[in-house]
Amino acid sequence: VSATVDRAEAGADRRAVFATLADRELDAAYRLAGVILGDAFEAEDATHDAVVTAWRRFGSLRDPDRFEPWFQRILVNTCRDRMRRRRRRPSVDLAQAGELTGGGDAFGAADDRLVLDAAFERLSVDHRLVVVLRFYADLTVDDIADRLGVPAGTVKSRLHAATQRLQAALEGGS
Amino acid sequence: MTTTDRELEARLHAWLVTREPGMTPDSLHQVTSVATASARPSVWGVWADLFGPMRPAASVLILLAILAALAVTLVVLATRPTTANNGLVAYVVATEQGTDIWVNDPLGGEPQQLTTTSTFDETSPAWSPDGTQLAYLRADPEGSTCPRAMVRDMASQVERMVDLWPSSTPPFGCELTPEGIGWSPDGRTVLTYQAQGYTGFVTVGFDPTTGKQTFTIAADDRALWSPDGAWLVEPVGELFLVPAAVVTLGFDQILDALVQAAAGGIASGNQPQDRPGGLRRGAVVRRVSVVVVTGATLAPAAIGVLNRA
Repeated sequence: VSATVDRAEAGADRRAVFATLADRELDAAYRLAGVILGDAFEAEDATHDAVVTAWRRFGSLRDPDRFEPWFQRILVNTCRDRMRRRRRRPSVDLAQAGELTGGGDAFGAADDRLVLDAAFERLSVDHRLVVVLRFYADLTVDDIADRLGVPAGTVKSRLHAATQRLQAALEGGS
Repeated sequence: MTTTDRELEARLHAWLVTREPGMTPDSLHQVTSVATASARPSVWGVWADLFGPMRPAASVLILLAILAALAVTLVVLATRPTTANNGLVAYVVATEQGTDIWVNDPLGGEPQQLTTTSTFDETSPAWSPDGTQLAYLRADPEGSTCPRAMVRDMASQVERMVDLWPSSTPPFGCELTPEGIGWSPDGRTVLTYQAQGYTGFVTVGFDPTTGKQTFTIAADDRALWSPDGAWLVEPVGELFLVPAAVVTLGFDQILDALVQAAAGGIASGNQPQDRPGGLRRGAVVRRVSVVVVTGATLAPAAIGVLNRA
């Protein structure tokens, strides 16, 4: 009986631990998904799905201190699946649409944004992920390899190819 | 003029930051609000009294049975709440065994488990506007059968499948099966959003009372209703299959409809109950498709396509 009660208590503890860890990562995860997917609604769905997946797999996480990279790996995989399945054009709120062509002294940034958004959409899914993880999340090559489950050499070659294309787009567009 | 690596990194970082979405939606924080379905404390209190004198073997068997039951009910994750206009709340409960839909009246009463399938996951609950019907998706987590869209009448508890292939295996495998579900503002049509390989979505309308298909459109984005249910807007994309005559509308007419819809808020989308925020459009809008839906039959009376490319 005591073992069963222990199990019940352990279940409640586990639940609380997960809620705390997941909630701590939620904002960063939503932003990362938004940057990867380029769509707030898609980011919301992806983050939601990643949390549910993480909860289901929570028993496999041995070290709670590794929750952040472990959850980030799940989130990135979720985003990758969504991009591969849908290949849809990015969409934006109408309220934000005007900002795309916003004037003032932000012409340069707006130009970059338009050019890079278009070039980014032409990259493969794997190339998009390494770009975001390197230049937005500021992860090392080894960390990116860990998140994507590929060798570091693969990350380097993807990064090289992707940045060359983005650079070419910038130079061609400026 | 070439860009140095450092300059490029800085420009890429600055650009990526502009892709950040806004504030995290409150609904996401609800995802991590973990709840217990039933702790059943009384079980533990009476255990020793009832079974203490039993022989060890019998006691162990009973203990194992209770452990099995607890494995299902002890720890759950409640997500995706959606409220009907009559106040009932439907939400998805995820356990390690799968997901089911529960319904609760916040003003009183016990939570009710609406779906009890052990081999399927039910997700994406969406109330009909009058709160009398609940639509949701049903999928086999093992992938041996394709996801299907269901509508349940809450009074009779009769469940109906609304799908392109109501009673048979889809002809294209699971590629063209529902991923999202929603209602027209007047409740006369259920929409299912179905991924179409790499080309976008197919949006299919069904009469929820018969399951009969009313129209099908395809585009790169999901269909959105105007608040009055008179317009079904595809912000990006074009029509490929329509059951009625095609009429080309003037740009002004379509623009008026878009503005009207944006001003009033869009009632439907992928998760219509979660997303009243407004109309979206593609970053590069070149085509706008508008389906005019008549209020009486919900069959498209006229379909206008604006091509600005």
